[in-house]
Amino acid sequence: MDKPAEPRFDALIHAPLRLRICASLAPVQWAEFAHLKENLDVADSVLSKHLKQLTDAGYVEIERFAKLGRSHVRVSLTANGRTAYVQHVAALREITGAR
Amino acid sequence: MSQQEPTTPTKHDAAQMLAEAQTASEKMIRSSDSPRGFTTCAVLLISALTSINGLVQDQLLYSLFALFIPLLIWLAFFLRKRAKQRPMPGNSTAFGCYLLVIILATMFLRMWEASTWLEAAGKMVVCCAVLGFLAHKMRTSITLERVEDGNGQTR
Repeated sequence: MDKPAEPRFDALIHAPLRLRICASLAPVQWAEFAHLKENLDVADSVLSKHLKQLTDAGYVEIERFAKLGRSHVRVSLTANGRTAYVQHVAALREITGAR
Repeated sequence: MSQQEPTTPTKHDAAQMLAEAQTASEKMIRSSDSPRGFTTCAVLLISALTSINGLVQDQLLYSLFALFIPLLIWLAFFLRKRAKQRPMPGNSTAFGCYLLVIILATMFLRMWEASTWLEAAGKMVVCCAVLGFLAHKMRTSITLERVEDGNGQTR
């Protein structure tokens, strides 16, 4: 059993949509852009903008590839992104007193 | 940008953010998992096979069993564009227990051999209720464990 993550508040992840993006990506290895958009119920441009901020911070990785003549975009949390998200959740739990 | 974001949320805000994160994670897991329709069809098929076993010829049973093929093809097509789930790191106790109970329930229900069509219909209702309930509990437990894994594991 791993020891609990160190709480560390992350201002970048704390924005509501970015938190939801990270929360959606946390339980999966990767998700397609379209699937993520469908789950979050936001416009392409809005999701792209927030993904770019997370990508610039090194929290999210975006992979573009073509399969059977169709282009796909896969989004996943990087190791740093996963750690930052888990630590941010731990910090929120600490604030609520749930830890 | 990040410098403009509030840095210390109140207890109420933090609880709200946690709830939103939990909902987003659950939604992603549910939409990446096998569809509810697949589970329903699988439960109905298993219940039908268990209920009419002994009442009809083996050929009909095999034909019904073959319905799993289109069902699995449908599942494969459905999951093609869905997110790839993270492998569970440890053994899932609740999931394992429910799976064991499902296997035992199916074995016990096979001992009850229906001799009339009315009895078979009754048996099918019981099978659907038991297997449906257990399948629902199994899905719920695995979703919760995946959410906990996603929110708690740094690897």
